[in-house]
Amino acid sequence: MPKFISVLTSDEHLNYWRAVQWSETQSGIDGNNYYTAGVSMSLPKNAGDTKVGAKTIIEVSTQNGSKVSVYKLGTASVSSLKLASNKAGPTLIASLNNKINEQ
Amino acid sequence: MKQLLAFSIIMAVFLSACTNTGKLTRRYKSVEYSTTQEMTNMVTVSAFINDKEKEEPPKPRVIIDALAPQGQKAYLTALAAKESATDKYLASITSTFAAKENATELLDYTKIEKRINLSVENIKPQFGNRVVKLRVRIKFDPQVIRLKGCDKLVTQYQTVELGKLNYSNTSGFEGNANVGAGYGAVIGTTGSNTGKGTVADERSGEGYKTSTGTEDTWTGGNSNTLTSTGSVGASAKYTGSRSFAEEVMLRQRIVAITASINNNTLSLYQESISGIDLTGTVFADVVLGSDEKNIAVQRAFSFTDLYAKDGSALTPDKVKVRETRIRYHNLTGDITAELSYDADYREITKGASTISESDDRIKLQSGSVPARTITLLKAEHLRPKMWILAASVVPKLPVSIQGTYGSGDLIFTSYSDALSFLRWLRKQTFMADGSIKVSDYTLTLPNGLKDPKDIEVAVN
Repeated sequence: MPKFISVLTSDEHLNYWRAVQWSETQSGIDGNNYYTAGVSMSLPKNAGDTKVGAKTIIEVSTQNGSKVSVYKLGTASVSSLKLASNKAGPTLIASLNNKINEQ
Repeated sequence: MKQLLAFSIIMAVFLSACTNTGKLTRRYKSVEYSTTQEMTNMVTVSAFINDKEKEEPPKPRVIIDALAPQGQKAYLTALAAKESATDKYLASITSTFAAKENATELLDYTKIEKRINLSVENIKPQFGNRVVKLRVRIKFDPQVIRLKGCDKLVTQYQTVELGKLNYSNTSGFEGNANVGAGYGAVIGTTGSNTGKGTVADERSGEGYKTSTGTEDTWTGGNSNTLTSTGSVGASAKYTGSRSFAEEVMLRQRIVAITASINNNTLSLYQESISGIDLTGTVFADVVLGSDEKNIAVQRAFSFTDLYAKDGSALTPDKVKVRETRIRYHNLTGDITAELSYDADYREITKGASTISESDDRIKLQSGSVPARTITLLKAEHLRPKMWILAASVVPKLPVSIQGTYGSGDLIFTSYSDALSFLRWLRKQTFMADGSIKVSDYTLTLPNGLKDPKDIEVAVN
Protein backbone atom coordinates (compact mmCIF):
# COMPACT_ATOMS: atom_id res chain seq x y z
CA MET A 1 0.00 0.00 0.00
CA PRO A 2 1.64 3.32 -1.07
CA LYS A 3 2.39 5.78 1.69
CA PHE A 4 4.09 8.50 -0.31
CA ILE A 5 2.74 10.39 -3.29
CA SER A 6 3.84 13.19 -5.61
CA VAL A 7 1.32 15.84 -6.68
CA LEU A 8 1.80 18.48 -9.36
CA THR A 9 1.92 21.85 -7.63
CA SER A 10 -0.89 23.19 -9.81
CA ASP A 11 -3.09 20.27 -8.69
CA GLU A 12 -2.62 20.87 -4.99
CA HIS A 13 -5.75 23.03 -4.81
CA LEU A 14 -8.02 20.16 -5.93
CA ASN A 15 -10.35 18.70 -3.34
CA TYR A 16 -8.61 15.35 -3.71
CA TRP A 17 -5.04 14.21 -4.31
CA ARG A 18 -4.22 13.50 -7.93
CA ALA A 19 -0.98 11.61 -7.45
CA VAL A 20 1.30 11.27 -10.46
CA GLN A 21 3.79 9.15 -8.47
CA TRP A 22 3.18 6.81 -5.57
CA SER A 23 5.42 4.49 -3.59
CA GLU A 24 5.69 2.52 -0.39
CA THR A 25 8.78 4.46 0.59
CA GLN A 26 10.05 7.98 0.22
CA SER A 27 13.21 6.67 -1.41
CA GLY A 28 10.96 5.11 -4.05
CA ILE A 29 9.55 8.55 -4.79
CA ASP A 30 12.93 10.27 -4.64
CA GLY A 31 14.44 7.77 -7.06
CA ASN A 32 11.78 8.27 -9.71
CA ASN A 33 12.07 11.41 -11.81
CA TYR A 34 9.38 10.65 -14.38
CA TYR A 35 5.63 10.63 -14.77
CA THR A 36 3.20 9.99 -17.63
CA ALA A 37 0.49 12.47 -18.55
CA GLY A 38 -2.89 10.96 -17.78
CA VAL A 39 -1.56 8.31 -15.44
CA SER A 40 -2.59 9.16 -11.93
CA MET A 41 -4.15 7.87 -8.76
CA SER A 42 -6.94 9.79 -7.08
CA LEU A 43 -7.10 9.81 -3.29
CA PRO A 44 -9.16 11.70 -0.77
CA LYS A 45 -7.34 14.38 1.19
CA ASN A 46 -6.95 13.98 4.92
CA ALA A 47 -5.66 16.07 7.77
CA GLY A 48 -2.94 13.52 8.52
CA ASP A 49 -1.26 14.03 5.14
CA THR A 50 1.99 15.94 5.45
CA LYS A 51 4.25 17.53 2.88
CA VAL A 52 7.73 16.07 3.12
CA GLY A 53 9.46 17.53 0.09
CA ALA A 54 9.42 18.96 -3.40
CA LYS A 55 11.22 18.14 -6.61
CA THR A 56 11.04 18.40 -10.38
CA ILE A 57 9.98 15.46 -12.49
CA ILE A 58 9.78 14.98 -16.25
CA GLU A 59 6.77 14.00 -18.32
CA VAL A 60 7.85 11.08 -20.49
CA SER A 61 6.06 11.97 -23.73
CA THR A 62 6.84 15.69 -23.85
CA GLN A 63 10.01 15.85 -21.72
CA ASN A 64 8.57 18.86 -19.93
CA GLY A 65 9.67 19.32 -16.37
CA SER A 66 7.16 19.90 -13.61
CA LYS A 67 7.48 20.76 -9.97
CA VAL A 68 5.75 18.38 -7.59
CA SER A 69 5.20 18.25 -3.88
CA VAL A 70 5.82 14.98 -2.08
CA TYR A 71 3.30 14.04 0.58
CA LYS A 72 3.39 11.39 3.24
CA LEU A 73 -0.08 10.01 3.67
CA GLY A 74 -1.57 9.77 7.14
CA THR A 75 -2.87 6.49 8.52
CA ALA A 76 -6.44 7.29 7.62
CA SER A 77 -5.39 8.15 4.09
CA VAL A 78 -3.62 4.87 3.72
CA SER A 79 -6.78 3.08 4.76
CA SER A 80 -8.85 5.09 2.36
CA LEU A 81 -6.50 4.25 -0.47
CA LYS A 82 -8.90 1.41 -1.04
CA LEU A 83 -11.18 4.04 -2.52
CA ALA A 84 -8.69 4.59 -5.26
CA SER A 85 -8.98 1.01 -6.32
CA ASN A 86 -12.66 1.68 -7.03
CA LYS A 87 -13.54 -1.71 -5.62
CA ALA A 88 -14.76 -0.69 -2.20
CA GLY A 89 -18.46 -0.92 -1.53
CA PRO A 90 -20.57 1.85 0.01
CA THR A 91 -20.52 0.17 3.43
CA LEU A 92 -16.74 0.10 3.55
CA ILE A 93 -16.56 3.68 2.32
CA ALA A 94 -18.94 4.81 5.02
CA SER A 95 -16.97 3.00 7.70
CA LEU A 96 -13.69 4.49 6.45
CA ASN A 97 -15.17 7.96 6.40
CA ASN A 98 -16.43 7.50 9.95
CA LYS A 99 -12.99 6.37 11.02
CA ILE A 100 -11.40 9.40 9.36
CA ASN A 101 -13.89 11.73 11.01
CA GLU A 102 -13.22 10.19 14.42
CA GLN A 103 -9.55 11.00 14.04
CA MET B 1 36.15 107.29 -44.18
CA LYS B 2 34.21 108.67 -41.28
CA GLN B 3 31.13 108.58 -43.43
CA LEU B 4 31.66 104.97 -44.29
CA LEU B 5 32.31 104.08 -40.67
CA ALA B 6 29.18 105.82 -39.52
CA PHE B 7 27.22 104.17 -42.27
CA SER B 8 28.47 100.71 -41.34
CA ILE B 9 27.58 101.20 -37.69
CA ILE B 10 24.11 102.33 -38.59
CA MET B 11 23.59 99.40 -40.92
CA ALA B 12 24.78 96.95 -38.27
CA VAL B 13 22.34 98.40 -35.75
CA PHE B 14 19.63 98.28 -38.33
CA LEU B 15 20.22 94.69 -39.32
CA SER B 16 20.45 93.49 -35.75
CA ALA B 17 17.18 95.20 -35.01
CA CYS B 18 15.60 93.30 -37.85
CA THR B 19 16.59 89.89 -36.49
CA ASN B 20 13.78 88.21 -34.58
CA THR B 21 13.57 84.96 -32.72
CA GLY B 22 10.22 83.25 -32.29
CA LYS B 23 9.44 83.48 -28.64
CA LEU B 24 6.48 81.18 -28.84
CA THR B 25 8.62 78.27 -29.93
CA ARG B 26 10.80 78.46 -26.88
CA ARG B 27 10.57 75.50 -24.55
CA TYR B 28 11.09 77.68 -21.51
CA LYS B 29 12.39 81.04 -20.47
CA SER B 30 14.86 79.65 -17.99
CA VAL B 31 15.57 76.20 -16.65
CA GLU B 32 17.12 74.72 -13.56
CA TYR B 33 18.08 71.07 -13.61
CA SER B 34 17.92 68.96 -10.49
CA THR B 35 17.42 65.42 -9.25
CA THR B 36 14.86 64.39 -6.71
CA GLN B 37 14.25 61.50 -4.39
CA GLU B 38 10.57 62.34 -4.18
CA MET B 39 9.32 61.56 -7.64
CA THR B 40 6.43 59.65 -6.10
CA ASN B 41 5.05 62.99 -4.97
CA MET B 42 4.87 64.11 -8.59
CA VAL B 43 4.19 61.05 -10.72
CA THR B 44 2.53 57.77 -9.91
CA VAL B 45 2.47 54.76 -12.20
CA SER B 46 0.26 51.73 -11.72
CA ALA B 47 -0.06 48.65 -13.86
CA PHE B 48 -2.68 46.02 -14.45
CA ILE B 49 -3.12 43.26 -16.97
CA ASN B 50 -6.09 42.11 -18.97
CA ASP B 51 -6.90 40.07 -22.04
CA LYS B 52 -5.97 41.58 -25.34
CA GLU B 53 -8.65 42.02 -27.93
CA LYS B 54 -9.17 38.86 -29.88
CA GLU B 55 -9.33 38.89 -33.61
CA GLU B 56 -12.48 37.55 -35.16
CA PRO B 57 -11.96 34.24 -36.92
CA PRO B 58 -12.39 34.39 -40.68
CA LYS B 59 -15.89 33.65 -41.87
CA PRO B 60 -16.30 30.40 -43.79
CA ARG B 61 -16.28 30.87 -47.52
CA VAL B 62 -19.43 30.26 -49.53
CA ILE B 63 -18.76 27.45 -51.99
CA ILE B 64 -20.39 29.06 -54.99
CA ASP B 65 -18.31 32.20 -54.60
CA ALA B 66 -15.16 30.18 -55.07
CA LEU B 67 -16.25 28.72 -58.40
CA ALA B 68 -15.80 30.01 -61.91
CA PRO B 69 -18.99 30.78 -63.92
CA GLN B 70 -19.01 27.37 -65.55
CA GLY B 71 -18.38 25.71 -62.21
CA GLN B 72 -21.24 27.64 -60.66
CA LYS B 73 -23.55 26.45 -63.43
CA ALA B 74 -22.54 22.84 -62.89
CA TYR B 75 -22.82 23.26 -59.12
CA LEU B 76 -26.36 24.63 -59.37
CA THR B 77 -27.38 21.84 -61.73
CA ALA B 78 -26.03 19.24 -59.33
CA LEU B 79 -27.80 20.88 -56.39
CA ALA B 80 -31.08 21.02 -58.27
CA ALA B 81 -30.83 17.31 -58.96
CA LYS B 82 -30.05 16.58 -55.34
CA GLU B 83 -32.52 18.86 -53.56
CA SER B 84 -36.09 18.71 -54.78
CA ALA B 85 -37.54 21.05 -52.16
CA THR B 86 -37.06 24.72 -53.00
CA ASP B 87 -36.12 25.87 -49.52
CA LYS B 88 -33.45 23.17 -49.20
CA TYR B 89 -32.14 24.02 -52.64
CA LEU B 90 -31.84 27.71 -51.78
CA ALA B 91 -30.15 26.88 -48.50
CA SER B 92 -27.66 24.65 -50.30
CA ILE B 93 -26.64 27.45 -52.64
CA THR B 94 -25.31 29.50 -49.74
CA SER B 95 -23.65 26.60 -47.98
CA THR B 96 -20.04 27.09 -46.96
CA PHE B 97 -16.96 24.95 -47.01
CA ALA B 98 -16.91 22.65 -44.02
CA ALA B 99 -14.55 23.83 -41.32
CA LYS B 100 -11.42 21.81 -41.30
CA GLU B 101 -11.47 19.47 -38.39
CA ASN B 102 -9.05 20.50 -35.72
CA ALA B 103 -6.61 17.68 -35.64
CA THR B 104 -4.51 19.15 -32.87
CA GLU B 105 -3.51 16.53 -30.36
CA LEU B 106 -1.71 18.98 -28.15
CA LEU B 107 -3.40 21.97 -26.57
CA ASP B 108 -0.74 24.39 -25.49
CA TYR B 109 -1.77 26.92 -22.87
CA THR B 110 1.77 27.91 -21.98
CA LYS B 111 1.81 30.88 -24.32
CA ILE B 112 -0.01 33.77 -22.68
CA GLU B 113 -0.93 36.85 -24.65
CA LYS B 114 -1.96 39.65 -22.38
CA ARG B 115 -2.25 43.41 -22.41
CA ILE B 116 -0.31 45.36 -19.80
CA ASN B 117 -1.95 48.69 -19.05
CA LEU B 118 0.10 51.44 -17.47
CA SER B 119 -1.71 54.32 -15.82
CA VAL B 120 0.40 57.42 -15.41
CA GLU B 121 -0.81 60.21 -13.19
CA ASN B 122 0.61 63.66 -12.59
CA ILE B 123 -0.30 64.31 -8.99
CA LYS B 124 1.00 67.84 -8.57
CA PRO B 125 -2.03 70.12 -8.55
CA GLN B 126 -0.48 73.24 -10.08
CA PHE B 127 -1.37 74.22 -13.64
CA GLY B 128 1.18 73.63 -16.34
CA ASN B 129 3.36 71.12 -14.52
CA ARG B 130 3.82 68.05 -16.59
CA VAL B 131 5.60 64.73 -16.97
CA VAL B 132 8.17 65.12 -19.71
CA LYS B 133 9.78 61.70 -19.94
CA LEU B 134 8.94 58.38 -18.43
CA ARG B 135 10.61 55.00 -18.40
CA VAL B 136 8.69 52.23 -16.70
CA ARG B 137 10.25 48.86 -15.95
CA ILE B 138 8.33 45.69 -15.17
CA LYS B 139 10.54 42.85 -14.07
CA PHE B 140 9.18 39.32 -14.04
CA ASP B 141 10.60 36.53 -11.95
CA PRO B 142 12.33 34.23 -14.48
CA GLN B 143 11.70 31.25 -12.22
CA VAL B 144 7.97 31.78 -12.72
CA ILE B 145 7.32 33.39 -16.07
CA ARG B 146 9.31 34.31 -19.14
CA LEU B 147 8.79 37.52 -21.07
CA LYS B 148 8.91 36.51 -24.72
CA GLY B 149 7.64 39.46 -26.72
CA CYS B 150 5.99 42.84 -26.85
CA ASP B 151 4.21 44.63 -29.68
CA LYS B 152 5.88 47.92 -28.83
CA LEU B 153 9.39 46.70 -29.57
CA VAL B 154 9.24 48.61 -32.82
CA THR B 155 9.44 52.23 -31.78
CA GLN B 156 6.32 54.24 -32.43
CA TYR B 157 7.30 57.72 -33.44
CA GLN B 158 4.99 60.65 -33.67
CA THR B 159 5.52 63.80 -35.65
CA VAL B 160 4.12 66.81 -33.91
CA GLU B 161 3.21 70.07 -35.57
CA LEU B 162 4.79 72.67 -33.37
CA GLY B 163 3.42 75.55 -35.35
CA LYS B 164 3.99 77.79 -38.31
CA LEU B 165 6.47 80.62 -38.15
CA ASN B 166 6.13 83.49 -40.61
CA TYR B 167 8.85 86.03 -40.94
CA SER B 168 8.99 88.97 -43.32
CA ASN B 169 11.44 91.80 -43.50
CA THR B 170 11.47 94.96 -45.59
CA SER B 171 14.19 97.53 -45.41
CA GLY B 172 15.33 100.55 -47.28
CA PHE B 173 18.04 103.08 -46.97
CA GLU B 174 18.88 106.26 -48.69
CA GLY B 175 22.24 107.97 -48.85
CA ASN B 176 22.89 111.50 -49.96
CA ALA B 177 26.35 113.01 -49.74
CA ASN B 178 27.60 116.43 -50.63
CA VAL B 179 31.27 117.12 -50.51
CA GLY B 180 32.73 120.62 -50.57
CA ALA B 181 34.37 122.94 -48.10
CA GLY B 182 32.66 121.03 -45.43
CA TYR B 183 30.83 117.85 -45.81
CA GLY B 184 27.29 116.96 -45.52
CA ALA B 185 25.48 113.74 -45.48
CA VAL B 186 22.02 112.59 -44.92
CA ILE B 187 21.91 108.99 -44.22
CA GLY B 188 18.63 107.50 -43.37
CA THR B 189 17.80 103.96 -42.78
CA THR B 190 14.38 102.70 -42.17
CA GLY B 191 13.65 99.20 -41.28
CA SER B 192 10.55 97.39 -40.37
CA ASN B 193 9.81 93.82 -39.77
CA THR B 194 6.64 92.07 -39.02
CA GLY B 195 6.14 88.58 -37.79
CA LYS B 196 3.26 86.35 -37.21
CA GLY B 197 3.66 83.10 -35.41
CA THR B 198 1.24 80.38 -34.76
CA VAL B 199 2.17 77.76 -32.29
CA ALA B 200 0.00 74.74 -32.26
CA ASP B 201 0.76 71.44 -30.70
CA GLU B 202 -1.46 68.70 -31.75
CA ARG B 203 -1.26 65.06 -30.88
CA SER B 204 -3.92 62.62 -31.43
CA GLY B 205 -4.32 59.11 -30.33
CA GLU B 206 -5.36 57.17 -27.36
CA GLY B 207 -4.40 58.76 -24.13
CA TYR B 208 -3.35 62.07 -25.49
CA LYS B 209 -4.77 65.48 -24.97
CA THR B 210 -5.15 67.84 -27.81
CA SER B 211 -4.15 71.40 -27.36
CA THR B 212 -3.71 74.32 -29.61
CA GLY B 213 -1.49 77.20 -28.97
CA THR B 214 -1.76 80.88 -29.43
CA GLU B 215 -1.08 83.21 -32.24
CA ASP B 216 1.16 86.19 -31.93
CA THR B 217 2.05 89.01 -34.18
CA TRP B 218 4.92 91.30 -33.69
CA THR B 219 6.16 94.31 -35.48
CA GLY B 220 9.40 96.08 -35.19
CA GLY B 221 11.19 98.88 -36.88
CA ASN B 222 14.37 100.73 -37.00
CA SER B 223 15.03 104.20 -38.14
CA ASN B 224 18.34 105.91 -38.03
CA THR B 225 19.06 109.25 -39.55
CA LEU B 226 22.24 111.21 -39.53
CA THR B 227 22.12 114.60 -41.06
CA SER B 228 24.87 117.04 -41.63
CA THR B 229 25.04 119.97 -43.90
CA GLY B 230 27.83 121.89 -45.53
CA SER B 231 28.84 123.35 -48.78
CA VAL B 232 29.52 120.90 -51.51
CA GLY B 233 31.22 120.54 -54.82
CA ALA B 234 29.84 117.19 -55.73
CA SER B 235 26.85 115.11 -54.69
CA ALA B 236 25.75 111.50 -54.76
CA LYS B 237 22.54 109.72 -53.86
CA TYR B 238 21.73 106.10 -53.37
CA THR B 239 18.47 104.48 -52.51
CA GLY B 240 17.87 100.79 -51.96
CA SER B 241 15.20 98.55 -50.65
CA ARG B 242 14.99 94.87 -49.75
CA SER B 243 12.12 92.59 -49.11
CA PHE B 244 12.43 89.21 -47.47
CA ALA B 245 9.83 86.72 -46.28
CA GLU B 246 10.01 83.14 -45.10
CA GLU B 247 7.62 80.64 -43.64
CA VAL B 248 8.69 77.64 -41.69
CA MET B 249 6.58 74.74 -40.53
CA LEU B 250 7.95 73.62 -37.22
CA ARG B 251 7.71 69.90 -36.61
CA GLN B 252 9.38 67.54 -34.24
CA ARG B 253 9.49 63.78 -34.18
CA ILE B 254 9.17 62.27 -30.76
CA VAL B 255 9.10 58.76 -29.39
CA ALA B 256 5.45 58.15 -28.60
CA ILE B 257 6.25 54.82 -27.01
CA THR B 258 8.94 52.23 -27.34
CA ALA B 259 9.74 49.08 -25.46
CA SER B 260 12.70 46.88 -24.83
CA ILE B 261 13.14 43.51 -23.20
CA ASN B 262 16.23 42.73 -21.23
CA ASN B 263 16.85 40.25 -18.47
CA ASN B 264 13.15 39.34 -18.29
CA THR B 265 12.34 43.00 -17.76
CA LEU B 266 9.94 44.96 -19.94
CA SER B 267 10.97 48.58 -20.27
CA LEU B 268 8.52 51.10 -21.74
CA TYR B 269 9.66 54.59 -22.67
CA GLN B 270 7.60 57.65 -23.48
CA GLU B 271 8.49 61.26 -24.14
CA SER B 272 6.43 64.35 -24.68
CA ILE B 273 6.68 67.73 -26.28
CA SER B 274 5.71 71.25 -25.44
CA GLY B 275 2.38 71.38 -23.67
CA ILE B 276 1.78 67.66 -23.58
CA ASP B 277 1.61 65.85 -20.26
CA LEU B 278 2.22 62.11 -20.25
CA THR B 279 -0.64 61.58 -17.84
CA GLY B 280 -2.88 58.85 -19.21
CA THR B 281 -3.01 55.15 -19.88
CA VAL B 282 -0.87 53.35 -22.39
CA PHE B 283 -0.77 49.66 -23.06
CA ALA B 284 1.57 47.08 -24.44
CA ASP B 285 0.59 43.62 -25.64
CA VAL B 286 3.03 41.10 -24.26
CA VAL B 287 3.65 37.42 -24.77
CA LEU B 288 4.48 35.51 -21.63
CA GLY B 289 5.71 31.99 -21.52
CA SER B 290 6.31 29.57 -18.75
CA ASP B 291 9.62 28.54 -17.43
CA GLU B 292 10.30 25.36 -19.44
CA LYS B 293 11.09 23.55 -16.24
CA ASN B 294 7.62 23.94 -14.85
CA ILE B 295 4.99 22.87 -17.33
CA ALA B 296 2.30 20.39 -16.39
CA VAL B 297 1.04 17.93 -18.97
CA GLN B 298 -2.39 16.35 -18.70
CA ARG B 299 -4.39 13.99 -20.87
CA ALA B 300 -7.94 14.90 -21.87
CA PHE B 301 -10.60 13.00 -23.77
CA SER B 302 -13.49 13.64 -26.10
CA PHE B 303 -16.11 11.19 -27.30
CA THR B 304 -17.94 11.25 -30.62
CA ASP B 305 -20.52 9.07 -32.32
CA LEU B 306 -22.50 8.79 -29.10
CA TYR B 307 -25.89 8.89 -30.83
CA ALA B 308 -27.39 7.54 -34.01
CA LYS B 309 -29.18 9.81 -36.47
CA ASP B 310 -32.52 8.86 -34.96
CA GLY B 311 -31.31 10.08 -31.55
CA SER B 312 -30.83 6.69 -29.94
CA ALA B 313 -27.66 6.11 -27.93
CA LEU B 314 -25.08 4.04 -29.75
CA THR B 315 -23.45 1.10 -28.03
CA PRO B 316 -20.06 1.71 -26.31
CA ASP B 317 -18.13 -0.20 -28.97
CA LYS B 318 -19.32 2.28 -31.65
CA VAL B 319 -18.12 5.33 -29.76
CA LYS B 320 -14.96 7.03 -30.94
CA VAL B 321 -12.52 8.28 -28.34
CA ARG B 322 -9.99 10.99 -28.98
CA GLU B 323 -7.10 11.82 -26.72
CA THR B 324 -5.59 15.25 -26.36
CA ARG B 325 -2.67 16.33 -24.28
CA ILE B 326 -2.75 19.69 -22.55
CA ARG B 327 0.32 21.72 -21.61
CA TYR B 328 -0.17 24.45 -19.05
CA HIS B 329 1.64 26.40 -16.38
CA ASN B 330 2.33 24.37 -13.30
CA LEU B 331 2.10 27.26 -10.86
CA THR B 332 0.66 27.67 -7.43
CA GLY B 333 1.41 31.31 -6.76
CA ASP B 334 0.25 34.42 -8.57
CA ILE B 335 2.37 36.06 -11.21
CA THR B 336 3.96 39.11 -9.70
CA ALA B 337 6.36 41.66 -11.08
CA GLU B 338 8.52 44.46 -9.79
CA LEU B 339 7.41 47.85 -11.07
CA SER B 340 9.82 50.77 -11.06
CA TYR B 341 10.10 53.95 -13.08
CA ASP B 342 12.24 56.98 -13.86
CA ALA B 343 10.66 60.28 -14.78
CA ASP B 344 11.55 63.81 -15.78
CA TYR B 345 9.15 66.32 -14.34
CA ARG B 346 8.75 69.90 -15.56
CA GLU B 347 7.70 72.10 -12.71
CA ILE B 348 6.92 75.75 -13.36
CA THR B 349 8.32 78.16 -10.85
CA LYS B 350 7.12 81.29 -12.63
CA GLY B 351 4.91 81.93 -15.60
CA ALA B 352 2.26 79.32 -14.96
CA SER B 353 -0.53 81.80 -15.58
CA THR B 354 -0.04 81.71 -19.35
CA ILE B 355 -0.87 78.78 -21.54
CA SER B 356 2.26 79.20 -23.60
CA GLU B 357 5.30 77.52 -22.13
CA SER B 358 7.76 79.94 -23.66
CA ASP B 359 7.61 82.34 -20.73
CA ASP B 360 7.94 79.66 -18.05
CA ARG B 361 10.74 79.59 -15.60
CA ILE B 362 11.01 75.91 -14.86
CA LYS B 363 12.68 73.35 -12.70
CA LEU B 364 13.31 70.10 -14.57
CA GLN B 365 13.50 67.38 -11.98
CA SER B 366 14.69 63.85 -12.66
CA GLY B 367 14.11 61.02 -10.28
CA SER B 368 13.72 57.28 -9.88
CA VAL B 369 11.08 55.43 -7.96
CA PRO B 370 12.29 52.16 -6.43
CA ALA B 371 10.67 48.88 -7.38
CA ARG B 372 7.53 47.66 -5.72
CA THR B 373 5.87 44.30 -6.16
CA ILE B 374 2.59 44.16 -8.01
CA THR B 375 0.33 41.20 -8.77
CA LEU B 376 -0.41 40.91 -12.45
CA LEU B 377 -2.08 37.53 -12.85
CA LYS B 378 -3.75 35.14 -10.49
CA ALA B 379 -2.45 31.59 -10.70
CA GLU B 380 -5.94 30.18 -11.28
CA HIS B 381 -6.26 32.29 -14.42
CA LEU B 382 -3.29 30.49 -15.93
CA ARG B 383 -4.71 27.06 -15.39
CA PRO B 384 -6.98 26.06 -18.26
CA LYS B 385 -10.48 25.05 -17.29
CA MET B 386 -10.88 21.29 -17.16
CA TRP B 387 -13.87 19.21 -16.20
CA ILE B 388 -14.19 15.79 -14.72
CA LEU B 389 -17.02 13.39 -14.00
CA ALA B 390 -16.98 13.02 -10.24
CA ALA B 391 -19.01 11.33 -7.55
CA SER B 392 -21.71 13.61 -6.19
CA VAL B 393 -21.01 12.34 -2.66
CA VAL B 394 -17.91 12.88 -0.53
CA PRO B 395 -15.15 12.07 -1.28
CA LYS B 396 -15.80 13.48 -4.71
CA LEU B 397 -13.30 11.40 -6.58
CA PRO B 398 -13.33 11.38 -10.39
CA VAL B 399 -14.31 8.69 -12.85
CA SER B 400 -11.10 7.03 -14.04
CA ILE B 401 -10.21 5.90 -17.51
CA GLN B 402 -7.78 3.17 -18.38
CA GLY B 403 -6.01 2.93 -21.72
CA THR B 404 -2.97 1.17 -22.99
CA TYR B 405 -0.75 3.74 -21.28
CA GLY B 406 -2.23 3.27 -17.82
CA SER B 407 -5.05 4.66 -15.72
CA GLY B 408 -5.95 8.20 -14.71
CA ASP B 409 -8.73 10.75 -14.34
CA LEU B 410 -11.27 11.16 -17.12
CA ILE B 411 -10.75 14.82 -18.03
CA PHE B 412 -12.62 16.96 -20.54
CA THR B 413 -11.58 20.29 -22.00
CA SER B 414 -15.13 21.61 -22.27
CA TYR B 415 -18.17 21.48 -20.04
CA SER B 416 -20.48 20.63 -22.93
CA ASP B 417 -18.35 17.63 -23.90
CA ALA B 418 -18.43 16.37 -20.33
CA LEU B 419 -22.16 16.89 -19.99
CA SER B 420 -23.11 15.24 -23.27
CA PHE B 421 -20.91 12.26 -22.46
CA LEU B 422 -22.44 11.95 -18.98
CA ARG B 423 -25.93 11.95 -20.50
CA TRP B 424 -24.88 9.16 -22.82
CA LEU B 425 -23.12 7.32 -19.98
CA ARG B 426 -26.27 7.27 -17.85
CA LYS B 427 -28.02 5.30 -20.55
CA GLN B 428 -25.40 2.56 -20.44
CA THR B 429 -25.27 -0.62 -18.43
CA PHE B 430 -22.24 -1.03 -16.17
CA MET B 431 -20.43 -4.14 -15.02
CA ALA B 432 -20.90 -5.33 -11.48
CA ASP B 433 -17.65 -3.69 -10.37
CA GLY B 434 -18.80 -0.29 -11.65
CA SER B 435 -16.81 -0.31 -14.88
CA ILE B 436 -17.71 -0.12 -18.53
CA LYS B 437 -15.67 -0.66 -21.67
CA VAL B 438 -15.96 2.21 -24.17
CA SER B 439 -14.12 1.55 -27.41
CA ASP B 440 -10.62 0.48 -26.32
CA TYR B 441 -10.86 2.15 -22.94
CA THR B 442 -12.26 1.08 -19.60
CA LEU B 443 -14.12 3.58 -17.45
CA THR B 444 -14.54 2.96 -13.73
CA LEU B 445 -16.87 4.78 -11.37
CA PRO B 446 -15.32 6.15 -8.14
CA ASN B 447 -16.26 5.54 -4.51
CA GLY B 448 -17.35 2.02 -5.34
CA LEU B 449 -20.37 3.34 -7.20
CA LYS B 450 -22.11 0.94 -9.54
CA ASP B 451 -24.50 3.37 -11.22
CA PRO B 452 -23.65 6.62 -13.05
CA LYS B 453 -26.71 8.38 -11.66
CA ASP B 454 -24.54 9.52 -8.74
CA ILE B 455 -22.00 11.08 -11.08
CA GLU B 456 -21.93 14.76 -11.97
CA VAL B 457 -19.81 17.15 -13.98
CA ALA B 458 -17.31 19.02 -11.82
CA VAL B 459 -14.73 21.64 -12.59
CA ASN B 460 -11.19 20.51 -12.04
